[in-house]
Amino acid sequence: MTDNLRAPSPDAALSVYLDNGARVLIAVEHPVTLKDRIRVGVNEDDFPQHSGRYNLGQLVAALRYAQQLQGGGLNLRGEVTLCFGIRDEKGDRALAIRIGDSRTVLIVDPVVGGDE
Amino acid sequence: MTNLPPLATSPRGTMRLDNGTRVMLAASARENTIGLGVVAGPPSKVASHYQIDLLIDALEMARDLSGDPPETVKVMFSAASDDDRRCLILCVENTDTAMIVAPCRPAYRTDGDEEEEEHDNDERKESPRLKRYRYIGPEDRVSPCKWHLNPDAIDRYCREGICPGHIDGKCPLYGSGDDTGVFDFAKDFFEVVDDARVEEGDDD
Repeated sequence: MTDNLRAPSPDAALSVYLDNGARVLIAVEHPVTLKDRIRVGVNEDDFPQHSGRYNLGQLVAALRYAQQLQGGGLNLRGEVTLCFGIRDEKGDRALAIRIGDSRTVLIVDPVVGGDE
Repeated sequence: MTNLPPLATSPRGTMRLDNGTRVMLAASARENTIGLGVVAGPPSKVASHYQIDLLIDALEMARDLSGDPPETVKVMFSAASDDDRRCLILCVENTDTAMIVAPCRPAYRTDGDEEEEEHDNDERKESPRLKRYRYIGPEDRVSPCKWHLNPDAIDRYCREGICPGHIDGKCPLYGSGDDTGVFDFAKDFFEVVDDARVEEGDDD
């Protein structure tokens, strides 16, 4: 992991640099959610090692679980922290979704071929 | 309420985050694709905070782009910015198109006039608000939720650091009375915890 690699502030960036130095050009900001800063970009280079492949439906389901858990007991304004699990024997990484600042974590298993 | 895959009661043992932090996995969902657990230790430094609504919006936009199954997305972080935040990059399978979700600064780590110090190490500085929401576990004060944990097994759960305890006097896995079915799993998934690491692929 290139800890010394720094990217511009996401608030003002026209491109986003990945951990491996590859660049994602920001093509458009989603018109509906412009204020919320979802952007669409084009990836120019290889994916970094630090990544994982996941089923879209499962990711959405996990996030909806997180919403419900927050609504029930953790009033933390709908925030989660995302980080990866350690690589398994097959090179895949689980995605950890930490709910707010609690210690409750949702884990989304990767689909095969997550890294490299 | 959307159609959520029900969490089953099959325990999955433990896993570790990329910084070595252990997550006690208490339950996994159908097809072993979503697990629920309790993290013990500092968060990974390669991480960032996001609004759930934004993430769901971005994923649904990615799903629109992905078209036919398999609906798969590659998830990666950007390099850290000067203020140590990372964008989340969601690359739609088989395309060069990426959805970029900007990170947020977690609201629960700042509290009005209070100045948060830089957290150069993994231990966070606590504001009063954070302290109020903070997980209360065995290392602090054991306060198991007796409504949903098996009373006979509380000692074990506390010893192993997986009891969710109370936050603001409520069980974080239950809620405050207006509960829905999604919380039903809480009363079951602490029944059995296998401390051995579960190898991926066993459940295929």
